[in-house]
Amino acid sequence: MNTRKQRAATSHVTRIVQIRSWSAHHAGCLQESLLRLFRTPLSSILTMMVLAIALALPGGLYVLSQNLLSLSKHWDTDTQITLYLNQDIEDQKAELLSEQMAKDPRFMQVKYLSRERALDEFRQMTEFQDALEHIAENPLPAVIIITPSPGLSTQDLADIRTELLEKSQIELAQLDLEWIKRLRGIIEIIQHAVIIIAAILAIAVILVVGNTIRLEIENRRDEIVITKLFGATHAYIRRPFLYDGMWFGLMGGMLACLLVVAALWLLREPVVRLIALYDSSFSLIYPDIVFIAGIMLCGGLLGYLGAWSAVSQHLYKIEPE
Amino acid sequence: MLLFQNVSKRYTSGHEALRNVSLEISGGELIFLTGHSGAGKSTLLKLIPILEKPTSGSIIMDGANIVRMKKHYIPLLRRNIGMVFQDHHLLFDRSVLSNVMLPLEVSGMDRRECRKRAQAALDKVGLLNKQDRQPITLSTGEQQRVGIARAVVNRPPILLADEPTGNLDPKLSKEIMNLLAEFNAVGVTTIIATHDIQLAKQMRRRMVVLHQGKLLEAGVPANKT
Repeated sequence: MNTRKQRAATSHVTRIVQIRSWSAHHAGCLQESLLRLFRTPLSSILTMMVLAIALALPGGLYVLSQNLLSLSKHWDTDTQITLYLNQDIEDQKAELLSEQMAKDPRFMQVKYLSRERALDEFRQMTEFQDALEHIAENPLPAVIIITPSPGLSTQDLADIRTELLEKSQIELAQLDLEWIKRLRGIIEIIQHAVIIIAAILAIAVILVVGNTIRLEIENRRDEIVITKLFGATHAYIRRPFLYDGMWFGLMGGMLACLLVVAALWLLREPVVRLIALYDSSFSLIYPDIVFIAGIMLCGGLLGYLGAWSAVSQHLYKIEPE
Repeated sequence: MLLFQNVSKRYTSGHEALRNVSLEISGGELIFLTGHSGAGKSTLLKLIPILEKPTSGSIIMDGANIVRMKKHYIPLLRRNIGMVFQDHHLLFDRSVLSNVMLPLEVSGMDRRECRKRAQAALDKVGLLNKQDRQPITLSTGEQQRVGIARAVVNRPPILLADEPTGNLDPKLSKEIMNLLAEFNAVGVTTIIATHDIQLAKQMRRRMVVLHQGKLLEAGVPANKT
């Protein structure tokens, strides 16, 4: 009984020692693998850049779609119906019409823009001032801009539009919803594209890391042969290469995030200018910590998989003779 | 300790490296395996750590037939076998000490313990003062001694040396042989393959001769005949 207890205790101690040495080897590999990457900085950075570009593309598209989505939501709340009146309607009658409409409870705000004012605004906003000089008659119609009361559904708005169109004074009724719908459609396409591109580029990442690790295995052939001669297990030999792959992926992911942020930063000014035209309070959404962690995690995982594919194809072929 | 029973090895090229070799090596013995190059010495040595598998026959080590050993156990088997090579197989991208530490690290030993034992092994071959040198800066004889230190660092019960003096002059060769004999003296079963019959004779140990893959004399230890 006593001996069995002792044996159990010994095996327990052995197990602890084994686990400790196993985890020490993992920690050692993790560290050495990172150092190795910096020992050949140029080739490491080149590989990481390739990975970064492959990861930044779907990542960047995702951020773009998030921005567009947020933008479309902004516009959703200030949907407007723009009524273009017949050219031959007199100012007074048109104004009267707009005053009537202002009483309608379905409309929160009704704004009337006479032909003259429309022309003025057009002059201020565009660079066609010279062209306008040459046109004798004001080509612009009077406009009534209606902001519907909040809470109306898309269908309600469409109904209102048809109803307004029946009035003889109104030439054209434009519901901004239309192009928001189109924008949503585009966003949906981009979101699908993100998935497809991500899938394709994930394969690219696996192949790039796989190839890099394959070269690394070739470079360290002697070492592999000798460690095998002295009784290294496959797991032991495989480990540093798997960590190499993981580091490549993680670093590539980090660089990808930097690329996305840099791209957004470069786009910032034109976007602000565009947004100002729409009088919107929208501001750019930058990648958050979840996005960064996600890209790095994906990179690390794909790098690991790439290394795994290289190792499983090439490592076992190297046998001492 | 180690028993070869009717072992033959035919390579896929058709070359018959070993023909029906039977050889018994007792624990703690030092045995010389001699013969011309191509006689099958290296092949015979390679069968022990399963670097090659025999075409037929069995190899019994401590009562187990290693020919049938599962792949999974091969690394563990190799941890019990120290190997010295003609071209010493040192890694030139790391220090002498790191080279010697390698077999210990492979077996998962704590790094500090590895260091201590590797230094002890280097001390035994007289190269402790060169532990931080790069192997390329050492002489051929010193490189071979580093190889020996690496082979014995995890205190294996079996030590194999394949032409350990192949590149050395007679004086250095003698030194290396004496060094191997020293490890044998503390109980390590030592098998040395060499084409240098004169040197082997000088050592006055058991010697078997291979000729075209055949063993020329009975492979039984002297104390059993």
